[in-house]
Amino acid sequence: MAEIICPSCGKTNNQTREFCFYCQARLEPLEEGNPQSGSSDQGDIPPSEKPAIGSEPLLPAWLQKSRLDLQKTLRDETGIASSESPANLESQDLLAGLRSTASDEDDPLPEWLASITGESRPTKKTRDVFPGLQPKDQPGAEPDSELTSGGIPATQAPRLQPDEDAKKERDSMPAWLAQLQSNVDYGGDELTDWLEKARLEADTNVSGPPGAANFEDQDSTSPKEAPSTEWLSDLSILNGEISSPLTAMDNSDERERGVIEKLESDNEWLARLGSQGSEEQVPAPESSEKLPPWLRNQSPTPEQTESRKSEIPEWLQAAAPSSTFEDAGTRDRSGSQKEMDWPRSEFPAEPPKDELAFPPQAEDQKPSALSSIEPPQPQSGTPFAREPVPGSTLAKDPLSDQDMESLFTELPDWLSKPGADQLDSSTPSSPGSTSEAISPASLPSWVQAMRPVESISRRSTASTDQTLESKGALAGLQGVLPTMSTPIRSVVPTKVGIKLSVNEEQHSHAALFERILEAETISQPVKSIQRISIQKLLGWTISALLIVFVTGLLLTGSRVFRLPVQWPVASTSALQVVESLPENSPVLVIVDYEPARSAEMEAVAVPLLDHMILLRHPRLALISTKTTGNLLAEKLITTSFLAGHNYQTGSQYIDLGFLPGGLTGVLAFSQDPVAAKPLDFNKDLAWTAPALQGVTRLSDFAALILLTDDVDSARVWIEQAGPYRGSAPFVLAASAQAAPMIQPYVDSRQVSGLVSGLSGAAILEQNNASRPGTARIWWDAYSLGLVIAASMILGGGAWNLVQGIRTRWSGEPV
Amino acid sequence: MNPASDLMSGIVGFILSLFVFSYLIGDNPLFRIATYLFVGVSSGYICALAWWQILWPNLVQPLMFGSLPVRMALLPPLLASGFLLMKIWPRLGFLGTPVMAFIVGVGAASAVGGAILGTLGPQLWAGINTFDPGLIFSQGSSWLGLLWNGAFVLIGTVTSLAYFHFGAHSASDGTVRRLAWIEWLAAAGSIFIAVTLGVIYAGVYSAALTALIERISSLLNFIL
Repeated sequence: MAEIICPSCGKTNNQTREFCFYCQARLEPLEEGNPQSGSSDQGDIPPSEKPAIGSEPLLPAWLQKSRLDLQKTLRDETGIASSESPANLESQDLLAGLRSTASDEDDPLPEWLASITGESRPTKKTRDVFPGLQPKDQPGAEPDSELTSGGIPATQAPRLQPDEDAKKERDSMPAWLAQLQSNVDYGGDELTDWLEKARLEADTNVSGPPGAANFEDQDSTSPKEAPSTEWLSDLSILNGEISSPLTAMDNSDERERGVIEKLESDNEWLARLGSQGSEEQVPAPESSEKLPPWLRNQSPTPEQTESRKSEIPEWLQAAAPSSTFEDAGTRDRSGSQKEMDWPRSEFPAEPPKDELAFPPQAEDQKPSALSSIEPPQPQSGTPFAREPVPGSTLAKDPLSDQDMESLFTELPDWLSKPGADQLDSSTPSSPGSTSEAISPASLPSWVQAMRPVESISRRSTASTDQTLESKGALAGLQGVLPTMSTPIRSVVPTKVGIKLSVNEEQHSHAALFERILEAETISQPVKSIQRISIQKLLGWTISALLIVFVTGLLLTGSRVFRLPVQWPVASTSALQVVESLPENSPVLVIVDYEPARSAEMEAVAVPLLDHMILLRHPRLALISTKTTGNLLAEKLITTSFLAGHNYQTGSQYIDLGFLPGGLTGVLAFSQDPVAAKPLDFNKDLAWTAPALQGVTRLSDFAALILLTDDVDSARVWIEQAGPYRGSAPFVLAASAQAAPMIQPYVDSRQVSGLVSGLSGAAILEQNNASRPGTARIWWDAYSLGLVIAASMILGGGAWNLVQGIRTRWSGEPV
Repeated sequence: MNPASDLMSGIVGFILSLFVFSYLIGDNPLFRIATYLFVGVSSGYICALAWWQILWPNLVQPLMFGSLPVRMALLPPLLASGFLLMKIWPRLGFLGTPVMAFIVGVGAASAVGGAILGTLGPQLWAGINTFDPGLIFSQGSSWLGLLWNGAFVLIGTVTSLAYFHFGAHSASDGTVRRLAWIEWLAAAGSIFIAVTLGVIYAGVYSAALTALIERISSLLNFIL
């Protein structure tokens, strides 16, 4: 769906919306002929000239220039202006802001407003020449001078609409609206005449040089002020009454109705001002003889005045001067005035004084166009306690310059601009056109929508800074952002010397530190390289010695070194276990060593198993928790010295294969060997084989012999199988590297016997008739290797000791 | 055994032994060839072993040819094996986490139970029994020697345990040190620990020397 971006808040809205959903601003500029446009005053201003909503209260440069030109023209043509311009100048303050739009060529009067005032829309040509609208039937419609107040030649006065159109539109109006309009027209004409007379009197009283002062006098004392104030009366009526039917015309859009209601509430002060203006125009009692007959007839009698006084509460009488009530009583002296008072009764009779007061000096110092945007000076005091009531003031001196000037210079900016705008249009229509002037109705919603911004602009203009913002959201606003008024003082930094003042000691410390840093950057030769080479050389030497001596002893078949004579208790216990086995009893042989240790393990295991086989002919069950254990077990039985026993698989021995699961597998096998390892290495039923006949539990084995080179494997079998082996002895044939860690289990009697290393094999061979003799063959080389190792360890230790002592004595770093 | 195969295995063993010995002069391609070959052969053998020794007889064969109760009983381990196999893919690896948790939990429980019942308790009881007069006199040896042996084991055990006691407190000078009597015990324990390490080193050297002797003997036997 198409969207439209709000020019005010920048948020997207539905294209069908007329007002922004978020800020209630109009989304699209008003165009001529648009039925929804409340006013087209601004419709066809070129984008470059069309002010933003926020900047509308500020007069554009061209408008200010136009105003200045206008004032200059009026000053130059004082003679002409003396009869016409005062009213125009007064209305200039009221309608100054609307001048730009009224003078625009594509700025038609809204149809709804024209229908109310009985006017028809002027043709484009007419509006091109004369932007103001002038009903044809008004008395002052025909220009009686060559120049209007706006400098427009009278020959270019607008052509008026025929009476038939007005009649048709009046016929289409409701009866109440038509009546209201007729009343307004009548009263306006009468009041205008009366004020015309007052102006003539003022002309006779006021004297001075022509120029600005004279212009200001004329501005404030013009008898044509009456039409302007009458316009205010009409405006109040329209705002108070007629606007409501207008809103009913287009009540389909709730949001637009809310905007209109807001405008109505915003116009309350304007209505008060309009009513006040009407009061001020009421002549004083002493000039009642100048009243028109219709107004004179409505003048209250002294009795009526007293009765009205009695109707007013005492507190109000005490607070207000008597003249106020007298003036208030004069408001009802005409029938038309009565009818016009009913909307005014909704508003306070008098505006606060702070809205009326304005310093005359400030007004004198600036052009009238700029004075219109001058904010009012705040003033304290209650409305009833203020000094001159406008009505009474006029009664005393209706041509008082100060009062009249303060009356209109206190108007808000937005209203004063339309006054200036109306200057062009009101001049040819004055004086008789004020009753039907459409100026009040030409206050459209877009002007109302700018009122909050206008208040900001008023504050900004009051400040000393008049910087016009040209970018961003504040574009068009003047003096909104505060600027730094105080001059920036530039501080010249004081020059500080960069030369350090150091003494000799600090110099020496710095030099020392510098030398330390230099020493850190110098690479030092790594001495460890030489040590590594020496160590490698030493390793080669040791390897060569071992290889040479071992090879020599093996080649020679030396028997220099004796076999061990003293048998360890553990080895003796192992032999006793083997010798005590029942004949042909099942023995579990666990082969848990790595191929790298197979030579040592075979040297230890073969004499033990050979001794056992020779004596008891046990049935062997081979199992391993190592993946290569089965191969080593097969090799042990079939290819080693034990192969001479010619043990047959299945009958005399059985290979159960690999037992997975680590210690958990060992535990499972200890608990239930048949379930844990039902098949042998050849995938046959193991526990039905003759080799395992009668064995269903771990305790059924006559003995458990563990061949291992790993202390962890020995601990696992000891820990997990110990509780389940019953009375079966547990013998370990271990590598020399694992024996020291297994010895505690031997001392604790968890292991029945232990044979470890080549020394244990030599003991077993001595007890086994020197079978197989491997230990004896290797014993000299083994013994020499131990001597070489011990010698080298002692020699190396002594060398290091001597080197350390020498180094320590010489003082060299280690 | 076939003599030809013995000859071939002897040649291969001889060559590979030389390749491994070449490591004495440093890391070289020959040594790497020998090690890589060993790793490859071992891996292949382990794979074949896992299939033939574990998967086929314990899982596949019962599922294919076993009875219905056997098959139903094998469904949980089959499912657990499948989940464990999901560890190959990182996105599905979380499926194998429960199985891994089960394996670790069972293993830890077995290890703790075995350690308490198979090592700590029996070792403590053995340490206490070293001073049992009944046991001492029953063995028939010199009671003084057995008493000295028991005392030596007790001192070694206590001092070694004190060596691994690292509790300390702040001294008055700000340093953090152990108690003085613990320091003395730890120093004595370090001696026992050094002796133990020496024994272990001697056992490792003895095992390595035996392996060296066996290899040289094997080479000599092949040559000669």
